Amino acid sequence: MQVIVFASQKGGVGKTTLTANLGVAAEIAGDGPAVLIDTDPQGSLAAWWNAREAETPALAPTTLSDLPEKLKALGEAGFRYALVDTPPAITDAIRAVVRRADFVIIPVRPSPHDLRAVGRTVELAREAGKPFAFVVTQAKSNALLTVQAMAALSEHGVVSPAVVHDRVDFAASMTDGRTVLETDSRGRSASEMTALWEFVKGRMNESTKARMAKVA
Amino acid sequence: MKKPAALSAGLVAIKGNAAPAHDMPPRGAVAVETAGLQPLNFRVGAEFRREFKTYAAAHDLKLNELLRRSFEAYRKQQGD
Repeated sequence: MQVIVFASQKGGVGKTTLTANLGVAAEIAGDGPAVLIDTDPQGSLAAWWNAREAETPALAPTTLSDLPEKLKALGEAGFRYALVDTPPAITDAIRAVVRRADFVIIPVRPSPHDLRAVGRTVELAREAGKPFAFVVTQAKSNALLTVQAMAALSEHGVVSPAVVHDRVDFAASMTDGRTVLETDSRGRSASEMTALWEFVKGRMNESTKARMAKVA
Repeated sequence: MKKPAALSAGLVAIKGNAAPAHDMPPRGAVAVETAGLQPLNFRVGAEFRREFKTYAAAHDLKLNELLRRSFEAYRKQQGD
């Protein structure tokens, strides 16, 4: 099982939205079973899942201290991907979660404040020796700032070519436990999530291959 | 083709019972370490005050943390 951790020191960048949407995208792409884990005390992901009619992706309750054992058990139960949401902070508790990651996704809004603050989240992934990628979220259409943000981020790590734009349907779809992939499967937001999942999956496969090559 | 996951009791949540990890420190807990701190009061110009607070906010720093880091950097620069 591969573990994807969504981390960012900044709040409101879309960690929970991406966790839920990519979990659903994985299931729709036939890459499941996927399981979600909510480590944010705010509990938004768990609340969304409770309101959700569909049983997939699953959500696994855990404590931080039980996380390693829980991930092992989920892997043994046949889950292929675990997607872990974290609170917006840089703490030892979040470092412990990142240490369990196979891949770290760092959502970043294309704003100067977000770009300045991203360094500490990058350090978090680097100090744990985990591959990571930036995902630009809440981008405005045709905004020069988005292009500039992607260029600036690319100096520090891989940037997802799939950009997530600022649309109300992301929030609206989640009010009743769904995602954009289910409320408007042919819409632009759904296309972005599908493309983002393909990117994440591809990067994880590359990371795994690189690790295997190192071992061989 | 995806295969169904084999589930044991308690491994995954059932609807209505999902909850986040209860032992994750609450949001903002790290920043609220005020025990043992002393007040330090002085006046600065309006422009400096605005720039200092804006810089701290943009970098997610508490004002006292920015002051402490600035002081450390200054002492280092002076070779103290």
